[in-house]
Amino acid sequence: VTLSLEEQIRQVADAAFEQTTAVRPDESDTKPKVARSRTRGRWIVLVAASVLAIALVGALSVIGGTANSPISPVDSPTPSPTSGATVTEPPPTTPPLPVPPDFSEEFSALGMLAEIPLAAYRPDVGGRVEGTDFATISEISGVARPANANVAAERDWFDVLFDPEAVALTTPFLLYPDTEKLQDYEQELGYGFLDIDRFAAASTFVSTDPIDPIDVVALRREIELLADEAGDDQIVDIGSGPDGQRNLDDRTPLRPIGQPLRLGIDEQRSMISISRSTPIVSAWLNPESPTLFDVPDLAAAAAALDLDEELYSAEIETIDRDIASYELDLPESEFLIVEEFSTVGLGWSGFGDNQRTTIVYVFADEEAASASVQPIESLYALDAEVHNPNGIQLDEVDVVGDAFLVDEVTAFGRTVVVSGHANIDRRLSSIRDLFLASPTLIAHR
Amino acid sequence: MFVRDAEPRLRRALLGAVGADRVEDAVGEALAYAFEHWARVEPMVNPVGYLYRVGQSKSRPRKRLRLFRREPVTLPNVEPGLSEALAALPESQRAAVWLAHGCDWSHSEIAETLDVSTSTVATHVSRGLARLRLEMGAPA
Repeated sequence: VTLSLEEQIRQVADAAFEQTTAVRPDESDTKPKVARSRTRGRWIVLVAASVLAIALVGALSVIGGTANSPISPVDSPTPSPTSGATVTEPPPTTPPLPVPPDFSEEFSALGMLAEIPLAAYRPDVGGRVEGTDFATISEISGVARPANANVAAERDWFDVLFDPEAVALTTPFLLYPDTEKLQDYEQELGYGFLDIDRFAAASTFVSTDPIDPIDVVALRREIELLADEAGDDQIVDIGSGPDGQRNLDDRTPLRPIGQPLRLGIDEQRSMISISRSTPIVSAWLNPESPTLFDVPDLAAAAAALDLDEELYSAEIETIDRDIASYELDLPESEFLIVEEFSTVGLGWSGFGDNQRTTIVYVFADEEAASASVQPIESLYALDAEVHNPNGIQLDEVDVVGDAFLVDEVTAFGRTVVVSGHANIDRRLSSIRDLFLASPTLIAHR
Repeated sequence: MFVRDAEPRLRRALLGAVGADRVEDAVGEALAYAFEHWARVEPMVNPVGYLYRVGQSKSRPRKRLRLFRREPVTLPNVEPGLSEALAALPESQRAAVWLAHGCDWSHSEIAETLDVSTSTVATHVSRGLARLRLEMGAPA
């Protein structure tokens, strides 16, 4: 071979190009425009959603506190794809779990669980696991993600990302996408929110304060520079001092009280974990560590959410029995779900007019799930009254159908899956509001 | 007129980004986007660069990328395995190398398209070529 490498690349490109076919699209072959008008106040919406989600955990704790056991990290029905944990017999009515695609390549709720080390979860308290695939949102919306902060395309991207009528999503805990801080994050970490293809995050709530939350992010760019900084333990320290130590002389937008962050680096998968806890990051780096995939109730919820193959965002919440954030003053007859459930999952897929929402309840066994289909159908009936005992502000939502329309309620193993979509002109995440305004939706006797 | 001029350039550029299996879909999506947002695209100095990103975003490959639809392809004067090594480069390096040496784009055009600085483009090209030389067994 006498050609230079550059000339050879040109030859390869010529030959490969010759195998392609010219594209002559019909001008009528376009997709409907996406409404992007409601961008004002998007941060308020997100903050409100976050607060509501936190309150949801509290509501679950009060309502479900009578009989539900907190999820225990007992044996997994199938081995975790990352842990190889020892397994025992699965619950008799649990469908076998599929092995999810690697989270660095594709989003799934089960893959999301497999990225969260069990060390980041307290079964005695419960908590929330969530994730979103920004790459998929870009695909389905047709809006390209900008390569870095403060470019013209950023506005288009964020208009889509935070258009509550177009998409519903969860956001990372530690890398919250505050437009004012995107550049600061990039400067401090070497990458930023815009580089994240997808994330998985978990936090355990004690009161409203998360304990050692973890963000696990799959990036669309190389992390070799970060990898070079990491020591033999594959961890990069951002800030100084022991875990959790506050240092007000070393505050940054990412570390508002100066606590050091630990970054676990997986160069091969272009993934990073971020936490204030070295043990949690170390557990994420150890492929033998058990993960939340090994927690049966969480996995059951995730598997049901993954029935929607186009899922791009999910959250799974469990009950904190010790929290008593507020009381409900409703007669027991209002609580239509008699059987106990431990976990609620939420998932979103599709875009614009094709958006879909999935709600999953995890029961103890298949019999309990089957028995709960009809009561749950009644709960989500279009004319089901929204009691709103807590005075949640929900404009013009007097019945469930004003905000959420159910397509189907089915039993899947020991879960009940509610498939539906937000009512026109409602935020896709309005189901969260409904949970608070009509807490019997997530309550059992 | 726009499609006639832009389509081949866009298709060649996107081939290196999304691979032979998805390139026509990516081009179709990008051109559909251009029609839909023509008022925004038309005044652009480098609409192909913008549509490259649209097509790349819409057709993000999830499997291993390949540059040739019909393989194996043996090219005279080309080291065996070069196309595979190109396809296996990290995304940013592959994009920079492909656009620079496979499509003859200038570094400033690439920088604008990928939304990075020209020095970053130069770094990606340099590292990409070095990695290819390493893969091909040539001195870096």
